[in-house]
Amino acid sequence: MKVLLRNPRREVEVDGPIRVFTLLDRLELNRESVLVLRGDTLVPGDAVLDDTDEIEIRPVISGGFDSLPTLRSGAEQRRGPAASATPELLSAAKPLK
Amino acid sequence: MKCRVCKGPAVIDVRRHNANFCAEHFLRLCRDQVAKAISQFAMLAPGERVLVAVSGGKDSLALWDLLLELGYPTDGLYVGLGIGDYSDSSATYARAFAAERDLELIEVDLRETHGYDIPTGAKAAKRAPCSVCGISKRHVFDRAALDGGYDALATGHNLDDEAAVLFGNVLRWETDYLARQQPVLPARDGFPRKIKPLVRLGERESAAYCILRGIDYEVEECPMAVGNKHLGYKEALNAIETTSPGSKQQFYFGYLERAASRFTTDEEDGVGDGVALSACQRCGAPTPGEVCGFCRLAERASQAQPVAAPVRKMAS
Repeated sequence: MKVLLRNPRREVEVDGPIRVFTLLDRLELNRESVLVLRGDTLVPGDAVLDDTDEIEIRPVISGGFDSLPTLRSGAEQRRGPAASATPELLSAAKPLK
Repeated sequence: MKCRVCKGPAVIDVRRHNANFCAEHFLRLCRDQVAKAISQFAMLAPGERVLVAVSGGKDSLALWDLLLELGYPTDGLYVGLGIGDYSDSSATYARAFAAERDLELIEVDLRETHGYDIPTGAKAAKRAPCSVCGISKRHVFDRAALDGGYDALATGHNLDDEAAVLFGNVLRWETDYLARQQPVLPARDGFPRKIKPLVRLGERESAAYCILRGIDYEVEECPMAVGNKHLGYKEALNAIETTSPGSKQQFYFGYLERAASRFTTDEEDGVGDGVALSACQRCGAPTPGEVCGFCRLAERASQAQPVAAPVRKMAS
């Protein structure tokens, strides 16, 4: 069967029949991190995929995050400038998280 | 697999609930979880107007749809980040969602409005793109929510997002940031109320919700987020979740219930951590200095030579 993978987008051929969970194990994909679709339809993990199926394994992990503090704490301010930070950008932004 | 509710054929497993669901009952689960989060954390009163920050991705579009389903009056806000064809593509999903439902989508293009885009801003500021993106979006979100008189600004942060941020903050014992990691930040001078109604849904669930509701969304990852620390934290947490379902939920909600209060500051919502804030001399936003970080970034980036966004990776 044809299996479409994403990020980066590529296609692989896998022999069927095969259970969805077995396919994910074979491709070393974490079942918590993906959904499996046949067309626009979700395919449950215990479903058996046929050799003629065309499926998509869609990753669900997404998002870049502002990973560094953007507002220094009062304690940090009292200690003086942060050596590794850009002072202009540390001065005011309020973290959402 | 059988649906836990109706015993019909299931379409998805939700291991942390030790249950499988058919489409109808999975969608109901999502609505119930969002309604529960809104109630549990007193995010919204009935009828309050919400500005939804939409990126064109699964979480923000699922959030917008769910808030509509729950009866809240909402508008959307899309920020054009100028990340090449990724931004072009993401915008089409946000616009299509709004147009198909006859909803108001406010658009703010960073380059048109503030003279820079994220690739240029990151290079000019010598900061990670996600950091510059965060500063920029927060400024635009806050301004739009306040100017529009909305009762709250809603973002699509889900359980995985919050667990990953918590994980990162705990790894480095960022106690000030732990104090601020709440599903609701109350409104205060210069800041709108900020709410995260998806905190009870995992991102696998928000993706499945979109698929089952027929909501098209941007599937490709932002090319500038490659290598972002939080993506690694999510993978690590999912590895734990695989062998111990429910770990992410226990980690995050256990923190909120049993540990968060230990990190709160004198201020009611923890924002600012005792730092006196005054109005930015340029934009009026609250800032501990004379000019806020966003205005400093915009000044520097708008004078820089534009930088092209990285192209998406395509396998041969």
